Amino acid sequence: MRSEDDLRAAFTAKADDAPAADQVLRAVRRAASRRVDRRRWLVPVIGVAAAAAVGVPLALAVSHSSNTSSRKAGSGNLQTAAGGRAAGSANDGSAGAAGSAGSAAAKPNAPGPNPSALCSPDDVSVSVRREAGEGALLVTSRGPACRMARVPSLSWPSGSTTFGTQSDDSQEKRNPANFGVLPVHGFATARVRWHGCGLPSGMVVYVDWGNGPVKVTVAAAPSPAGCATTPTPSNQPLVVSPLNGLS
Amino acid sequence: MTFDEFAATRLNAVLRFAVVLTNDRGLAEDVVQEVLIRAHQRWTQIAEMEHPEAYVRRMVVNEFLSWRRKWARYVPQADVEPDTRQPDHAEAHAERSALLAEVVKLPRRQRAVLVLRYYEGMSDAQIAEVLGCAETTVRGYAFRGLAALRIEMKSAELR
Repeated sequence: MRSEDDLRAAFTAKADDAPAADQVLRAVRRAASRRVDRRRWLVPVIGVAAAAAVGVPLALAVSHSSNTSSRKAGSGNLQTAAGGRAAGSANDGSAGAAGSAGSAAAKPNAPGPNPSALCSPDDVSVSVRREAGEGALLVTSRGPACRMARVPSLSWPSGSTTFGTQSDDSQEKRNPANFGVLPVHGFATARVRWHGCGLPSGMVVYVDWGNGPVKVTVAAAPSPAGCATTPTPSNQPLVVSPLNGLS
Repeated sequence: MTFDEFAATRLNAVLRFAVVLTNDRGLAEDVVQEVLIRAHQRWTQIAEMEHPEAYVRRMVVNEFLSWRRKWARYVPQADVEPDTRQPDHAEAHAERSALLAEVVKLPRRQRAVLVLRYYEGMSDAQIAEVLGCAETTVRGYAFRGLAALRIEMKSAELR
């Protein structure tokens, strides 16, 4: 019968058979460096694969969403154009249809740049400048493109020009052909001609391009000699040429 | 303790333990090498442990216990023959060689229990923790192993 001590002695004797530690350590370091080398090219490959796996679907999704939004924007333009056509046909057609189309066309200040909207006083800056023999009406865009009458009307305390070429203002305002688009940050000018003293400097006039009268003070050159600051008599002709600069 | 410090101070002891456990110098080398490669990868975590060496020994035991399962499909197995080297004719040496040859024939878990108990000097509780089993299971393995080796247990009741 053996004893436990025999077993301990056998194990202790067997332990002397162990290989050298540095030999094992060298093999461990070789294997570790091999793994590092493998990782050196494996990591970029995995990184590229992961980036492709994430990036490609993301790019497709973004591309799809931008296509969708541009398509939606396109359909919006089509709707606007359709509205314009409806307005045009309404002008050609019945009065009832003309009313609705006209109200749609006259709806000002839609949010964001909308060339189909009439220019509001906030969208533009307006000045009337008196010069030698004639005056100049200058309309400068403050940003968004918007519509305005090609021939705006001027009114002053004792007289006014007509809107466009026809005497019926409401009919003129419903006709899209009488309106042009003031480009973004663009400007348009119109000549204002008069006889005699015309518009004295400092006089208040009201400019209407289809969105209601806007108060403007005539500026610049002093009144000619002999012209008082009294308003121009109503029987004096005042002519406003079409705005140059509208598209 | 860095990995290099561990290797410099404790690797010899781990290798000696592995040789006793496996009873094969080559296999011990392979097992320890495999364990150290894995330990090297996450040495920062192992170094923070209270007893890094004990953890590495546990890795060695587990690697040995799973070694045959892992490599049996790839490595041709041969019956382990008793150590036939006879550097001298001393009776004690022959007896030790015969005893080790019988230890090799024991099931791996029984062998691990005997090595941990009689070479490492661990208690049954510590062995149970290393092997992940109950103390009674450890005592059962030890009892059957010692019985197979025809070893009289003097201190079995004390454990």
